[in-house]
Amino acid sequence: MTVRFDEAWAGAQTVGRGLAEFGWPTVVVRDMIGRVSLVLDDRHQELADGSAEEIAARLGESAGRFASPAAVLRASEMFAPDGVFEDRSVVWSDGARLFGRLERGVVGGEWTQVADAPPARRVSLYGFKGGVGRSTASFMLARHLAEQGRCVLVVDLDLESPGVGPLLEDQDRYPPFGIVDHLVEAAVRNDDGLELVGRSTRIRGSGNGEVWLAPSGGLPRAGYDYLAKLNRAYSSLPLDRGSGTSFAQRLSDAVAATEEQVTHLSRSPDVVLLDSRAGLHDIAAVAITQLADLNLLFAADNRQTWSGYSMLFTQWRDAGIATVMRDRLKAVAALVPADAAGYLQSFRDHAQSCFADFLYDDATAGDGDAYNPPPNDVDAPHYPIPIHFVGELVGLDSDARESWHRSELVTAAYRDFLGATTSLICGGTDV
Amino acid sequence: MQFIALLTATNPFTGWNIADRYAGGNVFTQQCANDHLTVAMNVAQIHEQAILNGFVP
Repeated sequence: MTVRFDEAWAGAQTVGRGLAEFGWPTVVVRDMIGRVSLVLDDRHQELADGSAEEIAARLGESAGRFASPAAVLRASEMFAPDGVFEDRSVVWSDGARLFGRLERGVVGGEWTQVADAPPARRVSLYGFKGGVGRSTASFMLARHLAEQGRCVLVVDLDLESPGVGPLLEDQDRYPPFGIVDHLVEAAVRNDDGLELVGRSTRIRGSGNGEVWLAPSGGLPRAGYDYLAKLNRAYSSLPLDRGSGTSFAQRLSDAVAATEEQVTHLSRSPDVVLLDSRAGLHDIAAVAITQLADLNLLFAADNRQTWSGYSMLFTQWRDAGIATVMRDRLKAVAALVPADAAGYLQSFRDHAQSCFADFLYDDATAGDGDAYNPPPNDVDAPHYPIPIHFVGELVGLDSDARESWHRSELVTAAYRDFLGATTSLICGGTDV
Repeated sequence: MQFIALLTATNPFTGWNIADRYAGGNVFTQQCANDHLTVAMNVAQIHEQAILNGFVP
């Protein structure tokens, strides 16, 4: 019988778990094209003669053509078994570290690498699906916070389709360099002196308030090749002998550099908004799991959105980081139509169901400590902050209509969102 | 990536000639042997990881 990709992975795990039950710590590894290997630690408990061949045969049956040519590796015969058993990407099934899974040679690994304590001032705005008004919301939030006298830095991390940058500033006034420049220049340790931030002239905060922009690319000019940089932006780098710098670290360094520049030019930003790109992309993964303390998850109430978030949450649940991550999330209901009450109730029900399936605790009777808030719990991560649909923002040309954000309809549409997010970010009640 | 790091570094076997394998133990230092052994182990480890990652056909 033909064994397909998913079945091969499940089958390999069954074989691996069997070995773990007999006391051999085992990691099942899936390589860059989906082939599976078993790495088992026989340094403390010997494997009987012929057993490795027997295990390889079972793996061959379970994984079919997805069984790796190096199907079974024994720690006692490896040069560097700890390269597997101590790899930070191994997802162990329990604290005893007897059985683990390891994905190698692929993008997407950053989704499960959660940072312990990202800076509290950083907020990411993310939508599984694009086109939900995320960049516009970033602009509105930055303006609102600045009007309260705060220093706000907005980092445009939507490198493939920059959105918030052009809203915040005329591109002719961009700083000379952007995030992609930091990524390519830092790769050759040439990032000193890059001017990465500029103060928005489109938003003038009241009093002390100010908004700074770190665009994805710098001032458009002859000879400035954005695409050539973007094509090199996502790689991890070999910097020192035997080690490298991950894409996550590179992006983190770029964001930190923009914060330092604002601090140097004015003052330390009170709030840093990371406008993350949509979809299951590594940029979003790093922003959400490692850079930000609060993640605003934009969603429209439809099946494909919840199906997308389910995929994302599944990874967090399986990696054992659901508890950490759920505390950093808040849903945003984007594009809420005129019939808001009915729409939002449906949104709450679907959101609660999606969060409960993967991120909340199983609510069993009598377990008072289990975290499983009901649909209408206002403080729960799934309970959405609404942004109402505004027809006049569809296809907006912000250059031609600079005062778009001051219209009554826009102000009304964002009122709840601005109040609730400001309270979440800055504490207290927003005024 | 680790291979690239090795390839771009200075060749750790510079100064070693193939005929040196017949040399007596008294004509090279323990340090020299240790250095070569360390690098050889490193190459073997990276090759092992490359197999697991699926980079080796």
